[in-house]
Amino acid sequence: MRAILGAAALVITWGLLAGIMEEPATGFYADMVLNTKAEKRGMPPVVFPHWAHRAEFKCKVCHAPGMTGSGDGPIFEMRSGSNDVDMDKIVNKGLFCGRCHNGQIAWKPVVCARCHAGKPGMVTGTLHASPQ
Amino acid sequence: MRNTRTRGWDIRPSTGARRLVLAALVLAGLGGLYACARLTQQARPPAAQPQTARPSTPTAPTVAEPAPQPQTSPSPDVFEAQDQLPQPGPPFAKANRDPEVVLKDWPRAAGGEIDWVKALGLKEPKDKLYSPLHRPSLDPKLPPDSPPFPFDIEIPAVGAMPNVIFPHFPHTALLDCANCHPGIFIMKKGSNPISMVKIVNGQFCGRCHGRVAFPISNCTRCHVKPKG
Repeated sequence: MRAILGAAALVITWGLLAGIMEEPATGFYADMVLNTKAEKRGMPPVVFPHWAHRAEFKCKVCHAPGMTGSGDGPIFEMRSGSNDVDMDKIVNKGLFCGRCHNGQIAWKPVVCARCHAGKPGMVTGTLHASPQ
Repeated sequence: MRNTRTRGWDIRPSTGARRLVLAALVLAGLGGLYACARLTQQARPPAAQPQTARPSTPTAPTVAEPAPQPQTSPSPDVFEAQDQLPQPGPPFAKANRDPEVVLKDWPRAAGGEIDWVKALGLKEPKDKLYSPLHRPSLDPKLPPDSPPFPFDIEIPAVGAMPNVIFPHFPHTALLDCANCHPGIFIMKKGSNPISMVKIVNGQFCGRCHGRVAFPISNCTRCHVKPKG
């Protein structure tokens, strides 16, 4: 009887602990963190959800050369850290995210927290290490 | 204990087994409770959304939308108050930004991630338009893109591993030739010294696979052709 009670207590504490320690979803495979400038300028890092964009577009929409509208380069180079993204370029020049997120094609970047949703200290690159 | 045993519990051989069964029952019960709690948690955000959206909708600028383009994504953002300050925290806290909610009907690979290649073959996954022939480009001035290129390449594997078949089709459906050629792969047979170590370290296939494209944990997804 004591053993059963002990087992039950163990299970209950395990359940409670799991309930407390369970965190809400912290991203998805292939999420990108952009934090070369954000934290230096006092903003939380940007988390770019690849899945949300892949559900709508093919890779080449953003990554094929000649998609900037002017010039030969892609909207985003496929190497983390090689895109000099900056709010001025997005909002005023319509580059990078601003190529679509301009209020006409996709929503305008007016709510900071929608993109600046990362936790302090996140490193630029893919959010999750590769599940080997 | 003994009473219960005489009341028809003697199917079970020993008290040890009974303890195990009891423990399993308790565990299952707790699991059920936990699942219920999680479900109610998940059900809450959509119910709360209209309330948060309502105050911001009148203040939202009513910009006359241009003629509907095939690439446009739905309406401007009305999910959050526009004067909201950024709060550090887990991304995708809201249900509409939860991939498990948005992508629940999409085909999954063995590892649990979305199988985008399988999704490529779908005509209409829910209300999304994701097929090789949809959305070729955002720029209407550009010519329509060339059709996917069906060209399989067999790459010999080390030892007893089955050889790799690289299919150009899903890659050319999603990407442009210039994304890989000649920067990542030289277009000449035998001139790309690929190895799994290099791939894990982010060269060749590893430039995308393991980071953004499907992970390399599942060997049989690439090593498909037995030798001999």
